Amino acid sequence: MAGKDYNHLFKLLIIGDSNVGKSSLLLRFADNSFSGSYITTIGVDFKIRTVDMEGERVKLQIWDTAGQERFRTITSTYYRNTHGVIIVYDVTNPDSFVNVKRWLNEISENCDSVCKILVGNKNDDPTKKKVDSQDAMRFGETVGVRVFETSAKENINVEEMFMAFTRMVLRAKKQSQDRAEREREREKDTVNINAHRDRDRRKRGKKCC
Amino acid sequence: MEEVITDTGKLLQAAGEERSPVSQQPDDRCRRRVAAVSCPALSAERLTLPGVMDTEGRVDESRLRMHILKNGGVSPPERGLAWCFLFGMYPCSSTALERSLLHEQLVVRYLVMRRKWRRFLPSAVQIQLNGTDAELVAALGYFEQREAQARAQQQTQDQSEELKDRWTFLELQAQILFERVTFDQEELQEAIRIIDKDVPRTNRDLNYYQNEGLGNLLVLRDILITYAAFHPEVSYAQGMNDLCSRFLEVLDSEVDTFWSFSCYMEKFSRDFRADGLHRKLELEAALLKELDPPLFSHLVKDGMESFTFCHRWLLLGFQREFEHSDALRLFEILSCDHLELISQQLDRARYQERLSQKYCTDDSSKSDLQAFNMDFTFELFICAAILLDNRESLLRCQDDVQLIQFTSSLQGTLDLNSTLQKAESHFFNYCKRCAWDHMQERCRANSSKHEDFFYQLRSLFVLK
Repeated sequence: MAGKDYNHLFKLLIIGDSNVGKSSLLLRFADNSFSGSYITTIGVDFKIRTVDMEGERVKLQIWDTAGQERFRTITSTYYRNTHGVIIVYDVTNPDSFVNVKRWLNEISENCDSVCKILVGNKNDDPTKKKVDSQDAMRFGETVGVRVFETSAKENINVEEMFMAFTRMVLRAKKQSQDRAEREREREKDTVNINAHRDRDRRKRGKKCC
Repeated sequence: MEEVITDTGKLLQAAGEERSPVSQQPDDRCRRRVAAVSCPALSAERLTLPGVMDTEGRVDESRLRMHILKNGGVSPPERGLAWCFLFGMYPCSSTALERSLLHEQLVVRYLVMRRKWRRFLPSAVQIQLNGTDAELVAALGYFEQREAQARAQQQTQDQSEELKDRWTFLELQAQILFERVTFDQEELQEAIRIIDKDVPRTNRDLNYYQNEGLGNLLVLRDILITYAAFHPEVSYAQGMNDLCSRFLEVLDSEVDTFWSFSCYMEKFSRDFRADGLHRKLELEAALLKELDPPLFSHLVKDGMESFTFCHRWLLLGFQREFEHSDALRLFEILSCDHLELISQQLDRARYQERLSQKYCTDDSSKSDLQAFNMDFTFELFICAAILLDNRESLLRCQDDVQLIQFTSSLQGTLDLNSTLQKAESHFFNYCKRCAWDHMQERCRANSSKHEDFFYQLRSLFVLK
């Protein structure tokens, strides 16, 4: 494409229970603001931010989905071509943490392999906190997902989380590129062998004639 | 805490007197208060629209609808009363006298319903606050003030024996009516959990929710929970808060809002189920295929996801796309069902057509009703008009990301009047074409006995 202003383009998806702060996280990261004017996300919304990482321009296209289950059949179509999924729960609401398992299931139903990260949002008031950090970490380990705790409202750890996740997604892409590269090398070898065989066969064929 | 419903008659009258009309001007903002439980005054009020209401207060429904359609909505001061008829809370055939009795019945029923879930789940009577939303705490304060005032008035006012008897009877009747209703505790709790999350996220920037009006969020909550409790097949889905909020803002009464909202949902609850919304999106796609095949095939090719970018438009009736007062007006116009293939005129035409068919012995007649797709509602034409209006930008979109971007970019930029005009012309063109195609086919089939329907249809266009 002409005038491409980035080296990589990643589509990230934010999912999680209703009212855990998905839109607020996105607003904080993309526009560095926090809105007191709360409004439910209907369907899907998305924002774009380009960041510099390891000397490259990475364009992030972040999709923010509605949390309620009723319309999941529609919003689940947004999983297509997704590079990474951010699962958000609310540290002041244990139910939203319990539901993380369901969200993980939804991911595995919709994607083969995709980067994941678990984010405990609204982490700004220790007196209100109901999901223990240690529990979250332990859970994260068992399912192999890194855990971050953030506060979109107080702007705590949001930038760090998104950047760390972008790095993960970038690494994953490079790894799979490397793998593809190796694959191609091997393919080339195979092709060569085949070519040899073909030639042999042709020779033989010639012989036959 | 528990209200005694038999005494609410006087409570309501007192509350009704204090009610500030919906459409009051500038200083309205600072005088905003929490909506009354009900306002009996409305049942006796008169619509001033010419020729719409007779001396006894009956309403000519088709004139009302025609008026709304032709004038692009009713004026805000009359909106509340007009909606009571438009959505069917009051039958148009009722007189003002009948309505005052009906109103009492509706009030008592609602209060009995609300009391029933409140007793079933006492812990859910109050919204769960997590303390991070100071405004909501204040809102709860205003709301509780209303309840306290109501209780105080209840104790100080006298009531005639007759009135007391009538209310006792109505309450008994309502109790019997809802006696057998049972709640699924888990389902209801889940619904309340989501309602409690969504109610504070209803568009509270609206004037209606300013200052003490903020307490209206909790009125909205009670209405939504009562609806969910008594309609478990629909329960609660996101977006219903926005929809119900429109009714509350216009009617400014808890009881009227509950019943009008319920009437509306009777027709449209399907939209709030996943399959209903899917169907709507599919219909929109089918309509666009009729109106603009190249644009349609562009939008469904690889990388696009079958019209999901229209999701919010169709779920919320374009509420976030137009300026608020325009969105209200559009809602009103769409609710008139006038420019629909299900409109009264067309119904009449179709009825006559069926009659003529009945006496027609020639049974080669396939159903004429298939000439149009009856499911293409006017709302879908509005959506199509917006899409066709932005045809060039849409054709430039290469994937669903760009489509969503396009949808978002339209928020708050659309002009209602021109959109309506365009939708109307698409609608009539569609009808004309269908009728023409169908007629040609008929002629080919060598049957000219079915002029009736098309004659009617033609006169409909001429009417326009």
